[in-house]
This record gives sequence, structure tokens and C-alpha cells, in this order.
Amino acid sequence: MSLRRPRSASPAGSEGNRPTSPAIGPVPRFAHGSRVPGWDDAVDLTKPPAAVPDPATTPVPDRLRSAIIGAMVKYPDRRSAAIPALHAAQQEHGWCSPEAIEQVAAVMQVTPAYLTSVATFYDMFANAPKPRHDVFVCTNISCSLRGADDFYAAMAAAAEQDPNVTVRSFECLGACDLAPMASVDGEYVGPLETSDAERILEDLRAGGPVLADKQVRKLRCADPKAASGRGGERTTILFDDIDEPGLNTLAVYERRGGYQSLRKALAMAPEEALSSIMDSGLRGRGGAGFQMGKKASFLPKGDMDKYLVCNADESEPGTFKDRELMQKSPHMLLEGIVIATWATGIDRAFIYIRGEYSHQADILEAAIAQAATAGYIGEDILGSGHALKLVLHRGAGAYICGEETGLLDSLEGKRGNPRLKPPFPAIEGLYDGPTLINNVETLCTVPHIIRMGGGEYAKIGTESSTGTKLVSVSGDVRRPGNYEVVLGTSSREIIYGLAGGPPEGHEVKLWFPGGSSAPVLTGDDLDVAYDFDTLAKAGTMLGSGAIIVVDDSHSVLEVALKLAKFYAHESCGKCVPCREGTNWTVKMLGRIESGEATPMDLDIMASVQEQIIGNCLCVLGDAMAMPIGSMIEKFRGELEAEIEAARDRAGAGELQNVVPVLLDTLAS
Amino acid sequence: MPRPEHHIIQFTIDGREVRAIEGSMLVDAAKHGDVEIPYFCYEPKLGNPVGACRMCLVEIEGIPKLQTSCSTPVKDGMVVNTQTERVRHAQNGVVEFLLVNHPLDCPVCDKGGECPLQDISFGWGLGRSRVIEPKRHFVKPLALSPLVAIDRERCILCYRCVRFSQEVSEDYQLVFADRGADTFVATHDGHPYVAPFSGNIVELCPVGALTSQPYRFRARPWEIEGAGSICTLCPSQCNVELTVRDEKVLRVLSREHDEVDDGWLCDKGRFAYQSIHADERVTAPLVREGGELREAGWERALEVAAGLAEHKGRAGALAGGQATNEEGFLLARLMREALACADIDSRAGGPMALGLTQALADPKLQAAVPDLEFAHTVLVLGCEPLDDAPILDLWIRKGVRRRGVKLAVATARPSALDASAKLVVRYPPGGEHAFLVALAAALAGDDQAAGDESNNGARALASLLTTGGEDVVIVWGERIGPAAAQMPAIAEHLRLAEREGAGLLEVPAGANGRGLREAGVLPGAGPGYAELGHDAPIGRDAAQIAAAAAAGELTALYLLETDPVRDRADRHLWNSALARASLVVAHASVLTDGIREHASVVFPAESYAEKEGTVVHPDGRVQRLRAAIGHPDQVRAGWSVLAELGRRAGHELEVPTSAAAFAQLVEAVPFYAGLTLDQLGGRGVRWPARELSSRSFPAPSATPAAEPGWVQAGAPRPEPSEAAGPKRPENGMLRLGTYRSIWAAPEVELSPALHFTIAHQQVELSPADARRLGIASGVAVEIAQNGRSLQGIAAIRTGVPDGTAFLAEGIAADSANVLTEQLVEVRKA
Repeated sequence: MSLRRPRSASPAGSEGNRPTSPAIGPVPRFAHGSRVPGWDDAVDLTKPPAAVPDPATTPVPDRLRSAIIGAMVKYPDRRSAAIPALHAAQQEHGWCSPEAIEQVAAVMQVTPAYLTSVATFYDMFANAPKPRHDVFVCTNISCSLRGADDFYAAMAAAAEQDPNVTVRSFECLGACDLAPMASVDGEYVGPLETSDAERILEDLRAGGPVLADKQVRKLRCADPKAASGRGGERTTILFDDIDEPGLNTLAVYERRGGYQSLRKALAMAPEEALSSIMDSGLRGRGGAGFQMGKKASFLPKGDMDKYLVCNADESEPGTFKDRELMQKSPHMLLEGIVIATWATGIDRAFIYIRGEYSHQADILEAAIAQAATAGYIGEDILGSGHALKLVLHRGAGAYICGEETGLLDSLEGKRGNPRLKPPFPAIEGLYDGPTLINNVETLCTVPHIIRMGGGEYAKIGTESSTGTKLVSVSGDVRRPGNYEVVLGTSSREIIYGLAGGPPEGHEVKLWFPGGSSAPVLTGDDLDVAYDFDTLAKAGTMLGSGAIIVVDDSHSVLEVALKLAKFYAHESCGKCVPCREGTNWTVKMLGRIESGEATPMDLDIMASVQEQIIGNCLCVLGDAMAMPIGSMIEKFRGELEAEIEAARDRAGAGELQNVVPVLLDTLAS
Repeated sequence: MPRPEHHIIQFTIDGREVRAIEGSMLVDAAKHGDVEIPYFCYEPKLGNPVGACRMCLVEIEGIPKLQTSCSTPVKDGMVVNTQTERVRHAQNGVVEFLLVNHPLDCPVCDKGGECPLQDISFGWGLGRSRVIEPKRHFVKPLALSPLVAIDRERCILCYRCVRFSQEVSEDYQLVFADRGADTFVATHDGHPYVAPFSGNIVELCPVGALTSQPYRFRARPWEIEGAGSICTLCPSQCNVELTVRDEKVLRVLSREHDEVDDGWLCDKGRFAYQSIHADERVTAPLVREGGELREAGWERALEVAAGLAEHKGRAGALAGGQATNEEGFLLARLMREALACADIDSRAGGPMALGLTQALADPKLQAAVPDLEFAHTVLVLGCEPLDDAPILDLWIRKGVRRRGVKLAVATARPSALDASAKLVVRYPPGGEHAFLVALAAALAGDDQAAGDESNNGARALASLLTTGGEDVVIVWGERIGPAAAQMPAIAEHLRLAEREGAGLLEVPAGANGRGLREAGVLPGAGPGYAELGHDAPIGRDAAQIAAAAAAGELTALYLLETDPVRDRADRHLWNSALARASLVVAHASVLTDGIREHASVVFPAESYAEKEGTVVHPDGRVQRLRAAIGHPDQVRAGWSVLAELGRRAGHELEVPTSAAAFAQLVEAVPFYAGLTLDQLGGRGVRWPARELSSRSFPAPSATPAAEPGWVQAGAPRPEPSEAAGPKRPENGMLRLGTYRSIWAAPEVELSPALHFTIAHQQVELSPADARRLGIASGVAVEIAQNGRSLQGIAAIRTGVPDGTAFLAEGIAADSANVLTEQLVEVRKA
């Protein structure tokens, strides 16, 4: 299994230019350290303190300066421009070098340390010189189930000879329907075979499009209903005509009835529009499943700066529905946003899109420009008096920015650390103002609710899980992809009926019903109805609506280790149980793999998960602890066998030297 | 801004009914029920809670999840449990998680014995560990700065140090880099964390990750004693606890006074204790023999100093800012009563009419330090808090950041607070008077007199001050000199005297500047700003003393803990004054230039760690110094030397003890009436807040408030015709402005740990002037004027007005007090 960051993970890799103490020799690292230089060095006492650089003594290239200033003016607080400015600086300098950071600091008038802190938080910023081309290979669960680790090895080996290419494993890129896939200089390609590694390098050298036949922009929707247009027995709403050519342009979108819901909504009073959303019973499609109308109603009334933030940081492993929506029907999202702001009296909105989705961000940016020209965004929209300023904000690679308060901090130009709740964002969110945060799919549904009427929409699905839901199915299925299903459909129908089930001769061993944060279900649970409450009753959750299927050809340990490593890497580090708990769990699972564990470790691990759950600042810790805990509970037999097998492989033999030492320091 | 009102509510904790302030955090409220909740990251001084360590989880009835008590405001009727199995399980878990990577190197850890992690592991941990995984190991310790060492193995990422840097001192140099378990405390690109308040992070660290380089391994917690006193290195007068081992001060910690220092110290206050035990310190009396100062016995030294009696009526005296009220009071008595001399001064701002002095000290006009946090608007006028009284810089930042205080800065030199200000006004150096005249006119609505708005910004400032809310606090520096005459009018327009939370806060040039004035160390006033009797003449001020001594009119000079050659304007004049005086008596702990060259006799001065006495904070708080260590070598108390000299001059001052001197002072100063040392205790008493004091404050003297012909000792003297404004630069010359860095102090030079901060002549130029003169940042420059010149290093600084150069004074070499004219020539050296 490939490690996330070879540089920090292997002791040998970090020997580079680290000074060793002559007296004691090199200190063993035990797989700790940082990809960020400086973690093992003293400061240079001859340097002056790094205060805010004086513009008079810090020259900045004009192009970079205007990019930064251009970003700064978009936000109420200039610090929000930190991430866009660092993107620009990285483009200018090739990486976020100290010099690049100082230049940004001089323009933004912040300290370089502020930006260093931000730059080192996000995966997309390079803190060391890097080759020109980036190949990010997704090695998360869904991709690795389909052979991503082999492809990563092949790609890394092939690129070894090419000084212009860097290969990194990067999780999860949100394209599990293409698994195994990679992002080559931002271009998503897949599904990949090991032979594609050479082709990627050739295409990069030639300077043309990379793997032109395997690009995500050419991928057709997997949902047969959506692909075939109207008709058939299943209800589809969001995916109607999703593959219609040119749907991403205003002309086509308008032709098929686009922005009519906006006109209808603007003709209503805002309260009326809001009550229609409330009547629909629409529950958030991002993960928590909180009713959108209810959340919107928490916003305080009155004349204050209020914000709407669209969470387009689709980062939950296995989830890729928002990507398809934004890429193919960006105006549906914009229409939803404008209606939502009308209904809630908000005049400033942001779309926070994950940095990896650069293609989708470009499409959205174009769509925003078109919509603004057509008068759907801006001052006095369609003569209604409603004004909306909409800014697209690109992230820079951090799972935690999908958590709503982590997202807010990130949008404010800080490290994406979640905030304490309460206060909840609806009361005190972005720039301390009341903020409504909704997922892309949720907002995309809004125009349809207005079109149909909330009551009408509520008739679809079950009583407490109304409407349709896009389900991203990935992993060991024959037809991975997004499917629009009515909530309450049987899970077996989704996994087997729509996605084709596991390949010939294999059975479902376990599946994640709502992204990798959801406690796993087994093959026995396939008949559970796919809706919020039934899944909650089954001890798991619908989450983001991402089903990851693992069949009997894969071991639970393999999945658990992938999962734990992902969350340990993505933990922001703010709170103790998550930071230390995820990192300890990875070490314990690693011990199982290397044959150094005993069955007793499973008890410790289970108890550690219990100590994480519910005790963290946000839900990231739970997101690892719940599925890991459920795997230990449901697959204990297999894990014990794995422990034995690994011990045999490692020649560890009889149990000795590995029994945890209980040090009773309190005589009791 | 009205301060938050406190409502008392009742809640239940662990089955006990407890009363607490509504909205206070549960972790604090719990203390009222004798319940201790453990925490690492919580520290209210740092602002809003972060809830990162999860150590303080408690169970609250009605809330399904455990809640962090550090971030949960207590409400009426809340039922809280801290002793349930669930809470204990979570607490055990957090301790265990912390110890997954925290090394158990307590035996060799400097924090051992005073470590919250040790205590909490013992009190709330399971007592055993299930971790058999290897812990991380890094090279350690590493230098984070010359003052602070960092041990990243021990760091538990509690956020305290980075929050301090980001949200309290706002230097934003210390940050977290990377994320997750790889997060580490870092600076940008290996730059050291050097900032005026950096040492506070050592005190904040709950583990041994950040340690003080000078203190590391000097003592164990069970070998030391803490002694409370006051730091007198600047007017902030922070309350400190001196860590003493074997009669040596080894460390300075904050003694947290939430109306004085808010629990912070600057690095000068925290590390300059090393000067107390420096080899260079004068610890025995010195007498000049054969042109050299030589060690002599006390008897010999007193005998020489007793020669003052020969100079009756012809002696002048200066008291420095570190002298206590008692020392100043006794000096004034010695001079006035025993030597019939009225020429005594402690001010840096030149003479001030008694009526004005009284008006500015009026208790109704005095703002208290916490008013900076709760004011509507704060105006920083003619001073740089960071250099002049560093803790005030933090107070002002706190108000702006947490309470939305509107800040205005009106100074000649760019200020560290500019970035936090709503309005910044720059006037040319020496232009204070003209600016304040314009401001007073603008406040009065006299647009004509307010002058050209594009030129001075007085009207914008006036409108901010009048429209931003009634509670306006003006922090002004003694250095503005004669311009202070405008302050009463400005205060009158803003009605500062009428509101509790509004007022003036003067930052004196010396640490105890206010106390010395109140003790009567002024040429024109007795103790308590009392008018001098008809038979007592008004004396000379410091600048006049210099001129008189240089002219031979004064023949003896008494320097109580001050060296005018270093501290005051016109170095050449002072040199000739001291050279011409036939007797120079000095109390000093360091032989600075003026003392070394000219003193006839030097009495070893006590350090603040050895003194008994009182000082007065700029906001009127009388605070008590307590001796933390005994006198080293032959050092004697300053008051006893003054008493002895009085005796030898034939005038018994009747002060057998320091406390007796205080009693005399209280007797002499009407508004101190009734104060006792016991009352002062460890927290001091703010006399302007006492009803009794306000009533006994003298009615303003008949002397006119503003007198013409004022001179400012700290800056070039304006010609009378130029009172309306300073000279315009001509012939490529630059206007001269001066500043005194926080580090420009002999104590800093004597403290090895602070050597890297020693202030040198740094010449601040505007980018345009630097371009015109072909000078780059960091190059050596020469500054010349009238044939006198000095060397410096150029620093190009955006914000310095074109046509102006700012030079450092108060430094050991190349100080700007060599220069006396308004214009200077700056060229490449």
C-alpha cells in the first residue's frame, strides 16, 4: 500500500539536509515529521524577525501584484484573498517559496508567517521546489479497490526518469466514477490502466491534451434514465437532460426552461419562496441532512451583512455528484443560489469549490459571467430590486474545508480549522455575520421546488426524506457513477439494479452507504431502504449519498487502513482526540499489517474509537472512528484471522513482546 | 462604551447549587462550587475560547453530547456534572491521547514540577497507558529565538503561543505550519520569533515545549521563591513576580494585575533582570581621584558628597524615572530644605506652568488603564506606546480587536498601531503645538483656525472624536512638550472630565515620572502640586539647569538615577555643564558616559528588585515595591543615603526607614491622605478613584495655564516665531524627528540575553527620500548638522513622511541628542 507522503513518512527520506547532532547521532523519526521544511531545524538567529514586509523594499512582479489585488477587492476582508493569492504566487514562482510568500505578504500587508501557515495547511500548495507537471493519483478506497495502487506504482516508476513530472498520491479527488483516476495538471483522466502511465508522460512531453479519450469532460452520465432523457418509470429531477450538449451554456439552459423558477420566485414574496422551500421538506444533501428551510429560518432578520455560502468542496471519499452537476448544469446551481438569497434576504454569496475541481470552477466562472450579463446576478435582478454579489472561491486541497465552519475559516483566508459550535453559522458565520451554508445539490434542487411547489416536491420520497437524491456509487460495482433515485428506494436496487453489483463471481462484503465516514453495512443489509431515517436506524447514515461497495476480494484491513490514513492526513490537528486518535489508529492498524499485533489490540482500537466519538471539536474524528469501530464490530473474526496471518507472514510466531504494557502508576 | 453588566444566576454543579456571573464560562463558574475542571488551551486573556484540547468536557443535562466547559457560558438553572463515568472516560481518553506522543522526559524537563500536563495527568488521567507505539522523536531543543527554546516533541498544540502572537501582540510571526499530527509551531522561513512581547509564550506554555533560554536549568521549582514587586523599567509598571534562588533573581513572571498589565510582560521587563547581577553593575561607592572613579568606602563617599553643603543655593538636581516616590521626595527635601536650592526637576517635557500641571493631573480627567479597552474612541497622541509603555500597546490592541474601540493615531513618526487605527494623522516633528492648536480649533468648530484640512487632518480627527461616542481616552506622551498646553481645551471640548470611562492618560518619559512629580520633584511645585510659598523661588527646569551649570551659575549637580548626557536633549550642553560643575553626586547602577566622565562620587543604586518604596502608575495607581533580594555587595538603600546627606548638611530629615519616608510623603501630599502601605498591598490604590483624594486635590493655581516661551527638552527647540509650525526642509536637508526605542536602556545593555536587541542608530527614511539620496535599506549613513555628525544605518520605511528622518535617542552610541537643530543632512557614509 502506498504511503501518502514518502518524504515525511520514511526516515530515510528526511535525512536530506537535516543537521544531526554529533554527540547522539541521527535521531530516529518514527514516521513523524512534516512535509513542510523547518520542523526539525532551529531558526536562523542572524535573520531579522519576519514582520509585515515594507512595500518599499519588497519588489513584486506586476502580474502577480495585479492578480493579488484583483482577488483582494472581491472580498469584504482582504485576508480572504490569501488562497487565491497563493495560487497566483505558486503559478508565478513554481512553488510557494519564501520569496513568493513575502511578495504576497507585501501586497496583502500581512505577515509572511500568516501566509506560511495558510500555505502549509493545504495540499495543493507546494512548500518545496517541484517539477512543472503534477500527476495526482487518487489512491483512496474507491480508486484503490479498482487498482489505483498498481497504477500509482507504475506512474511513479515511469516518472522517475522525467525530471519535469512529479507524482503524488492525492485523496480523494472526487471522481470515483473514473476510478482509478488521476489529475494531470488539473485535468481529470480515467479509468486508468497501468499502460496509461507512459501515455500520460508522452502527452505531457508533447504538450497537447492528456489522454484525450479518458478526460472527465467527455464522461457521460452513468444513469440510464438521465442519459435517455424523459420517460421510463423512475422519477428524475436534477438529472433530466443532464447530458444535453451545451447545457452548461445559458442559451441551452434557458431553452429548456432555465431561470423560469427564478422569475417565478421573484414574483413571490421572499417569505413565500422560503415557505415553499420549507414545505418541500428538503434535507441538506451535503452530509448532515438538516432541513434547508429550517436552517434558513434560523437566520436573524434585520439589516445586517448576511451571507450565503455554497459548499462545493465535495471532498467526502466516494462522492462525486456535485462535480457532475456543476460541470454539466452550472446554471441550475446559480439559479438555486439566486432564489435562496431572495428567499432569505441575502445579498452576498460565495461558492467555495475545492481547488482540485479546476475544470468545474472554470465552467462555473463562465456561467457566472453569462448570468451576470443576462441580469440574473448583480444589481436589481430582473427588476425585482434584489441584488446579489456572487464570488467563486477556489480552495486548495483540504478535506476539512467541506466541514461548514472549516470552510468558513478557509473562505476568510485562514487555515481551514473548524470552529466551536455554538455559535452556529446561521447566527455567526462568515465575517461573523449570519450565514446560510448549503451543498451544491441542495441548492440545485431549489429551482425545482419553486417550479413544482414545495408541497408537490414533498410527495416524492418518504415522509421524512423527501425528493430524489443523487447517489454516487463506486468501488466494486460494474457501472460506477451517479444515479438519481427517489429516497426510500431499496439499496439493493441501487447497488445491483442500477450500478450492476460486484463483478461476476463476487458478493458484496461491506458497503458504505454515505461516504467513507458512514459506519459500514454488510451484504446482509442490502435490502435497507435508502433514506435518511432508515439508514440512521440501521446504525449508519445517508451522509453525502455516496455508496462505496467492497466485495469479497478485498480484505477489511486494507479498507480500514486506507480509511484511517486518509482521516489522519486530513485531520486539521486542532483538537486532541481527532489529531492523536486518528494518528494512533493508523499506527495500530499498521502494526496489524506488519504482523506485530495481537487480538487484544482490536479491543484497544475499539475503545480508542469510542473515546474519539462525540468528543471532538467537529465530526472529522467521528468520521474515522465510526466506520473503523463498525468494521471491528462487524468483521472481528476476519481481522483476528488477518492478525494471525500477518504474524505468520512476519515470522512473529508465538505472542510475545507485543502485549501492551499496563503501567499502573496509581496504586489503587 | 458601557462595561458589561453582571447578572448573578444560580446553577447546579455536581449536585451543589452555586451562584455565578451569567455568561461566564462554565470552567470559571465551576470554581464557585469548589469544582476544578482541567484544561490546557483555555486562557481568557487570549480571547475567545478555541475548545481545542477537549480536556474540559462536562456533562450538561439536556445536551446529549459532552460539552467543553471552557466555551459554554453558564445559564440560570443549568445542571452540570463533572464527576460522571462518562466525563471521566472522556478525560482519561484525552490524557491518554496527549501522551501518545508527549515524551515522558519529565526528569530532564525544565517544566517539571510546575507543569500543568504533569498535574492533569496525575489528577485526571487513567494512570496507565495502552500506547506501545513508538513516540515521535525530534532534534531538541531548538532555538526559536535568542530568548526562547522550542522542544517540538513536547508540544501538545494547545494554541496558546500562536494565539498570543496572532491575537494579543498581533505580531503574527508565530503560527502553526502543516496540519494534523504533523502540525508544528513555526515562524516564516526560519526567521526567529523576535517581537517585543515574545517572552509571554514561555509563561503561557502548559508543557515544557517553550522554555526561556536564560532560565533553562537554572533552578527547580522547589528551590525557588516568588517575590512580588513592580517592574520599574518603564511607565507601564507591570506587576511582576521575581523568581528568587539564593538571593538571585533568575526569572520574572507576570503577577497578573487586570487593571495594570492584564497579565503580560514585555521582553525588556521579562529578561532585563539579568542586569541586576551583571558584573558591570556598580555595587560599591566610587569616588573620583586623579581623574578616575575608584572604589571607596561609604564613609569617604558620603564625605565627598557632603561637600554639597558648600554649594548652598548653587546646586541643581535631577531625578530619573526609576527613582521611587520616597527617593524623589527626600531629594526634594534635601535640596529645598538643607541646601536652599529650588533647581530640581524630573520631567522631560520642559517647564510647565503650575496651573497647567494641576489641570492635567486633575483626578476627574484621569483615565484608568482598563478604560482603553472599553472606550468608544482612543486617541494615541505624540507617543509610541510600544516603545514608551509597551503594555499600553497591548491594551489598545485588545480594545480594538475585542470591543471594537475606534483608534486614532496622531503622531509624527509612523506607529506600530497604525495598522489597527481607523484614522492616522501625521504632523511634522516639532509640529505638535500647531497640530493641537488646529485640533482644538476644529473641536470648537472653528474651521478657519483648524487650518488646511488636506494638510493636517485635524478636522477628520475632531469629527471621529466627537461622533464616535462619549467615552474618549487620549493617550498622550510627555514628549509633546509645550503642546500640552492645548490639552485642557481639548479635554474640555470632549467633556472628558464628565465621564467615568473617558479621560487623559499621560505617558511620562520616566517609569515613575508621575510619582516624582506628585512627590514634588518639580522646579515650580511642592509635594502634591502645591504652590511654593512666597519665600520659595521657582527653580530652573532641567534644560535651564544645564545652561546654568555650563555658565557656572550652578556649581554642584545631584543626579538621582539619571544620566542627562544619555537621557536628555543636547548632549554637548550637558557634557559641558557636568564638566564645569565642581561637584557631581550621582546614584547609579551603571556607569553610562555622563556618570563615568563627570561624577565626583557615585553611590551604588539599588535595582528595583532590592528597593522598598512606592511608585505611581501613569493612571494614578500608587504601587508598592517590595525587596525581593538583599542588597548585593555594598549597595545601600537610596532613601538612607539621602537621609544621611541631609544629616551631614545639618538638616535631619527624620527618616529611619523607607516606611517613615512614605509616611512623610503621605503627610505632605494632600490627595494621598490616609494611604498606608498595607492598603497599597500587592495591588496598589488608584488615588484619583478615591473620593477623599478628589476632594483634596488642589484648586488650579492662579498661574496662567499656557505660558509663552516654552521649550521642549526632548526635541529641538522651536524658535518663538515658529511656534505655529516647524521648519520646512530645504536644500535637500531633512527634518529631524527622534524616537526612543523600547530597547534603548542601560539595563538591556547589561543583560546578556537581550544583547541581540541593543538599539543602534537606525535612521528611518521615506522611500522617496531614500531614492533621491541613493540610499538603500541597511546601508551605513552619516547624519550631519552644523559640523556635528553621527553614524547610523538606514531603514527605509513606508509611512515616514517625505522630507523627514527619524533618529534614535537614548542609545549608548551615536544618539540623536548630539543634534540640536531642526534640519539634518543625511548622506551615504
